Amino acid sequence: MSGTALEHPLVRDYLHELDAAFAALPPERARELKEQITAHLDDALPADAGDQEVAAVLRRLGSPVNWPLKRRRRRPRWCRRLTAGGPGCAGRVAQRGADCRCRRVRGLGHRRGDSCTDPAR
Amino acid sequence: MPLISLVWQDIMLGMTGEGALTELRRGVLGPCVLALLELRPRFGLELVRDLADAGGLLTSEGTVYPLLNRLRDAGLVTSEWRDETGQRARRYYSITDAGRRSLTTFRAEWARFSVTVGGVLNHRCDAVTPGRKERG
Repeated sequence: MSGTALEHPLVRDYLHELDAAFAALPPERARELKEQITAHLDDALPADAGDQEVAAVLRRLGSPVNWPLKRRRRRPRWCRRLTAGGPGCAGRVAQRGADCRCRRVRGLGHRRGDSCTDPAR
Repeated sequence: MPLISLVWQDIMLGMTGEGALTELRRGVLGPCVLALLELRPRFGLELVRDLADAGGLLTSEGTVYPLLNRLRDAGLVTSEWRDETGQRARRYYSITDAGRRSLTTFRAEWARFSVTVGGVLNHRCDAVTPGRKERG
């Protein structure tokens, strides 16, 4: 006999579903969410929960596919061309149209080698 | 079919379908979570059950957890582990001072907003009174 409902096959399948749904999240956020859902299931289900009881709890939780997860978005193209300047920097624009990391320069109107403090052309 | 009919159909389908209500619920769930935490700290399942008992707020209980994390990221909620006697450790969520201020602001805005929407929906305001003079 298992010591916790987390070992129930339906719960295990659900936890695998979570892993798949959270794959696009930053690892720390995914780990935390899974820990929260696991704790929820552990609290909600007795160790000897039957299939119907487990299925009902999982149904109420819902599919993680439909949760409003803030997914890790790929950085926009201009963002991948940033110069190495930090806060308050006077870094040089690495590529025409690029933004400086300090955000003082917003791409358009600047050429490679411009200082981020130069006015846009 | 004329375009305007298709647009109108889309709007009406959105209004009558579950989609619009789901968006509405999502929008108010954060303040509702804060309001419950204002009374006392709660652990995850406790909070979810209290929200579910309120009726009609949750379509999917799991959505509460990503929301809690966003509220915490925004500084409106904190969490801490508590190991109460005879029970296993649980993560308890509490409202912060910033959360209380945010909730107070939302309550005032919600009161105004609900009066306005109620007025329009029930034809109780100037904007929807038949025969009202057009601006101009």
